[in-house]
Amino acid sequence: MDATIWLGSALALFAIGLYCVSKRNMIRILLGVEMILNAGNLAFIYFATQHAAMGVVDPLGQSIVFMSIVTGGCVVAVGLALIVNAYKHFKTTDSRELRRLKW
Amino acid sequence: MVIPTLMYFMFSPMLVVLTGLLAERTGQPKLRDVVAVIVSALGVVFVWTLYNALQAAPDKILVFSLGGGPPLGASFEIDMMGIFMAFSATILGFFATVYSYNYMEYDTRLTEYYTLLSALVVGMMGVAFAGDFFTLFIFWEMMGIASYALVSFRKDLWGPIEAGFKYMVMGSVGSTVLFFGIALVYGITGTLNFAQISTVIHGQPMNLWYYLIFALFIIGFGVKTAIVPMHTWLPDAHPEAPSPVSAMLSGILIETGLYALTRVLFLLFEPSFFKLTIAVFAALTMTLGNMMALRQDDVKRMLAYSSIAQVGYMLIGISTGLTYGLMGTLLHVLNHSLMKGLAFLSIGSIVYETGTRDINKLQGVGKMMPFTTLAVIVSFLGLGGVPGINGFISKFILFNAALGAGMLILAILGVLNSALSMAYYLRVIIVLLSGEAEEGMTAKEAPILMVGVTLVMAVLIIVLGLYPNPVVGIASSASEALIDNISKYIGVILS
Amino acid sequence: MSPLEIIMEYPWPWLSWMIPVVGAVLIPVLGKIDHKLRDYGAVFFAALAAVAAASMIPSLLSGHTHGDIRLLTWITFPNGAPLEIGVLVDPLSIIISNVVAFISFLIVVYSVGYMHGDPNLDRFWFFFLFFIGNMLLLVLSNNLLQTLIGWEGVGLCSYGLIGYYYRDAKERWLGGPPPTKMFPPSHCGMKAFVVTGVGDVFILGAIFIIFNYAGTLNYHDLIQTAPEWLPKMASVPGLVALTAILFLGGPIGKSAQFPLHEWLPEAMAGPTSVSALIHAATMVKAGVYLVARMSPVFYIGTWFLHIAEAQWYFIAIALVGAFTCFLAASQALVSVELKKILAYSTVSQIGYMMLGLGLSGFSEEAYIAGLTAGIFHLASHALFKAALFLCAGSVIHALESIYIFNMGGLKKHMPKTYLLMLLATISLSGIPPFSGFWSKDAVFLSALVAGTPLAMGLLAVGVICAAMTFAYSIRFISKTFLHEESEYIHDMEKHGHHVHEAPTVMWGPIAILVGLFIIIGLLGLVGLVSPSLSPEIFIEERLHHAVEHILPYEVAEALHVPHIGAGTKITGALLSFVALAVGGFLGYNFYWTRKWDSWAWVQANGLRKSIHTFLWNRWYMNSTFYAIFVYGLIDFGKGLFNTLESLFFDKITAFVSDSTIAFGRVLHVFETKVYDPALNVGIPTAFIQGGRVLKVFENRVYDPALNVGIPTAFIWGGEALFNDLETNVFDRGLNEGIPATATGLYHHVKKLQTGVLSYNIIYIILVFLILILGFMSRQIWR
Repeated sequence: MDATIWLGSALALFAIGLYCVSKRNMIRILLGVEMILNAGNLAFIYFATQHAAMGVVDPLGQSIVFMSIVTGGCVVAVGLALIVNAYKHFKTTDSRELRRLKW
Repeated sequence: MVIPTLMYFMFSPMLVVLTGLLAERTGQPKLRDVVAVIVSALGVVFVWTLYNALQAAPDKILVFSLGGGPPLGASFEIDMMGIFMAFSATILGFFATVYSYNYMEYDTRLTEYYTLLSALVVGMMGVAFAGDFFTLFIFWEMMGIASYALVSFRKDLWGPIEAGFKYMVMGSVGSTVLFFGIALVYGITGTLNFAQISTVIHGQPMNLWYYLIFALFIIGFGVKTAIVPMHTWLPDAHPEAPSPVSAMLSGILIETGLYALTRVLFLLFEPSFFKLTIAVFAALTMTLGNMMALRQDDVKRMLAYSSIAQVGYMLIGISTGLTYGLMGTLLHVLNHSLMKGLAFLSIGSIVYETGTRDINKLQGVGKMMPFTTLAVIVSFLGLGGVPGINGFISKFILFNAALGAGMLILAILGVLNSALSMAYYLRVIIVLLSGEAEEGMTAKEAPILMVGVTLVMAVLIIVLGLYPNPVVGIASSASEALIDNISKYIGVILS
Repeated sequence: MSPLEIIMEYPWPWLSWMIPVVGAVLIPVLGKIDHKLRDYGAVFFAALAAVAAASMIPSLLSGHTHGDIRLLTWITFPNGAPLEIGVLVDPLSIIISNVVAFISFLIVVYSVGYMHGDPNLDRFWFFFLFFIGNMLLLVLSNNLLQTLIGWEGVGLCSYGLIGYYYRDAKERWLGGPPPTKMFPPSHCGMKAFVVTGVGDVFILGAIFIIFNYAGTLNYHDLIQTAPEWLPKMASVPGLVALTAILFLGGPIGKSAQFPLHEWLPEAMAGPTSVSALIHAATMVKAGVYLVARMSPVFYIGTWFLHIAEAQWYFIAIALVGAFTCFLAASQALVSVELKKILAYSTVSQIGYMMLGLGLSGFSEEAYIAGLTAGIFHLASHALFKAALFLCAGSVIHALESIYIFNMGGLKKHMPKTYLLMLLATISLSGIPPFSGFWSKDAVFLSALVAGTPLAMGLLAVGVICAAMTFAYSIRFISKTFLHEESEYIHDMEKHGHHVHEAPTVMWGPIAILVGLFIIIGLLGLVGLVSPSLSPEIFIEERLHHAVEHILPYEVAEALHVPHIGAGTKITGALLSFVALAVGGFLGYNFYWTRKWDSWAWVQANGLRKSIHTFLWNRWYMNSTFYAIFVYGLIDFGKGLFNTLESLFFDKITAFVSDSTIAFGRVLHVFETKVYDPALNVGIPTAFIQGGRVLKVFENRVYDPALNVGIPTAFIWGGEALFNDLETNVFDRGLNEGIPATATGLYHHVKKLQTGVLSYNIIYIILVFLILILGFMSRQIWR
């Protein structure tokens, strides 16, 4: 029951994130990326509790979650920088405007 | 021997950034470029020392853990295959850095540029040496973030921003999907160490979770590797990046993705499980890549599509599931990193001098830039698989392995594709060599360092083509390492 | 032994191919210093190569050849024997490498005069020397891969030298005279490269298959282990025949045999000395060499292992050779460009060589006889055809016209050239006792020895071709040197251009070539009395020796040289005489004395006229090839493809966009029906806004595509099926090729790959779903 709730919500978060990424607003796309990442984080945290030894939650799962939050932050920083540049020069945050490079 | 390499890992980007800031303050900006070149050269030296240390090691495997042993600590597992990849990465990184010295001369923010470039190399070395998913993921992200920033380095133009954003989104979707896959693996096994995972998972009956993991990994690694249909970022990102970065991306970054995919697939599954899927992807990838490259007018974009096609050839080797095929893949990774690196660098010189990427406007450039054109010809003939140049040997092995594994259709498709690909390579060569230059088209030979780098690489390519045996030997032992090293690694970890 | 010691022990084969390559690299350097130094440097390097090759002759005479010398491991294939760099020094390679090196040297000397004053000589000498090196590498190498490197190298040089006048000045164009189509040199070079490239793809395929079964590419090992790997290959029905025919694809392309022969006439766009060396004497013989080199494998297959399919190697090449021989000879009868006549004649004569090699597999006894015929004709043809081309070069040099109707009466202006060319022509026509007679006779004899009905049929073709050869030989000699001067020459004289004899540096090499084939011819005559001096018997013995050494012991034991009886020999000679009589009678009356007017004869009758037109248009093969492979793809590319498109590709496009849309809808429904109400309280308006935008987008773009686009496509598809089937499938069926498909596919992929980010993400999601569903269904079926 526990597994269903946790993993179910992780999978749901994963699916919602993918859906969000397929949208047109650049900010929303970035949020989608974060959601997928957090789906992974959620799954990790749940599994870390499952692999607890001697009453201590598995530190491996926690540490990788910390690392992934850090790298996720980096990705978002790069992404936001790109969005700011796109907006500054071209006055749009619509990802469907990004179709000048076709072939 | 392991310690200095790890130090190099950690500190080379920092070294570049510190000297860069220092150099800017003191008004000696060239110092930063020189330090970047030295740092990238040191990378090659360190890989070489690692290679020697590995040869001396009893099991042909070196294991080094940070923060305690497995399962907790991050561990590096250094074997022939990793060395092979790291060697390809550092050598191309060195060439690209030297080339940038002239190529990026008129750009600003070069401290960032060199730092990112060295972070890219370090990321790829980390992926090559990773001994667990933790390390793999961190270096994977490091490599990814550095490359996103490098693609959109010239942020004042539309092209790089658009290409960079697409690449960033697709790449980070890939790596987050990969992260989710890692989470599931962790859930099943309770560890992230490759050796321990392998002892738990390998040989288990397959159930839905494994399929899910497999699909997640294919997507996670496949986006970076540009497997069709997840390749759509590549034809945008590669042409828009500065040429040395294009060379790094096409030459080695997508192959690093392929390497990680190979590693993980062989770690988790039996070859019979993924053979067919990979074969389908291989056929799709090479056919589509070649077909799209045929009609491109932008020469860098054409090269980008050709990279996709080459990834298709490499996938053939994996789909055979044989050591022999893997050896072909590895050999093609090295050869392709040299050839495609050279192709992008020498075409970059032409773009630098003429200011255009349109193939039709490059008529008569051959006479103005003879050495660069020579380098272009060598690399293009190699990519097309002309005997006598290194690309031929690896393609020969790949197609032959496909035949040996009973995948006749794949071999035939490969040969046909290879023949088809000559069409667009020849087109560029002919345009460069023939005809009179257009009105107002003037170009002179590129600066000395750029020409020097391209010629050195051209010579290397021809030497490897005429006498491939040493590299074939290394690739052969590297491919055996992939099959054997899991058990050896298990032995080292568990003892 | 270290590699250096191995080389030092017997350096000649190594030196002979390395010296020209090194020389080629040095040429640009020498050119920077002094032009004279560069020209003489090239002569020097070519001479050294010839000396190195000649140094192998003693071992040929003594019969103790060094065989397979392996230098060092080149590639270690994990699933096969290591592949070593090396040379294979046996009589076959010694004979051919000497022919190549010696003729190359003479032509380099000739070129010093012929190309004098050309501004791009650096490039010329580079390619020339590089060619010599690669050709010798090809001939002397001990494995297929190394041969292939040389093979591509000579192809590259050939491409570079055909397109030597790449500026495409009008007077360098080939073909015509107008209204017949003309081609610029760079186009001709490209054509040669592409057409031979087609053959290369075939041979590469064959090499893959062979390597897969044999695990080695070394000639010696391949032949020695053939009894083990050929049966394995034969266990797949049709594979041996397929491999044989694929393998022949390479030689057929390189040696300009039907159906890949159309590049050679056009290859005459290069400088004449290049035509003489590459497109008459040496490179085009590479195919003959390779066929001979691999023939032991198929000999073992046919006569030792009794695999019927293996004989296809011989039958196919004999048929191709005989047909090409006839085809090219018939075109030489009507062509009006001097060099093109010689090119057709080359194609036709190579047909004889291929016929000889093919006949060698028709019966067990004929093997050595056929091999001898092929190689003997190769050597003698190389000598006299090089001489012919060089003479033609002198004539063209003097007249600056390529057409024979602009010549005539040159006998008194260029007596030396006339004499030399006449002698070479006599040899070409096969008049005894010149070398051409003996070598052509050897081909007839091998057919008589083979003795099967098919061999007899091919022999008949060969005899007819011999008659045609004599006829066109008389034609071009007469049109060039005899009778009255043409208007063109009178014009030239009027403008003060005197037609001059060629300088010594040009006629000297020709005289040496002519002297050589006269000596061979006379030796043949002497050989009738004392067989030990006969060149034919000499080559036969040497080849027997070579084959005996390379074949596995148990096969070599069974090999024997049949004694050719006097009766057979006389029959062969009689056939030659009959051919000469018929060809000579027609040629004498039509051309030599011009008693009969050939043009009036052709015009007199509708049938003759149409045959002439047919031949003039090169059997329509060239235009057919162009129509199919060049213009077809440009003009009618859409042809059948349109049908395909509506039936197949549109559906894929529709399916993918359809499923993308459907998937988007599901998500949309999910969002509006489930997600939105559930989280309605805290949702920022941005999300609703997004949903609305999606809806508008859907109404404006997706729905029309779904409701209008797809039905239209279906209707159109049905129409296309009925209306276009006839016109497109049957009329234009031939015009549809890989590039057309590729172009079409390109546009479709382009359509799919819209560059919109969210679609790309949706593709990723689709891949994910397909993978999961695919595996699940696989699991369920199990």
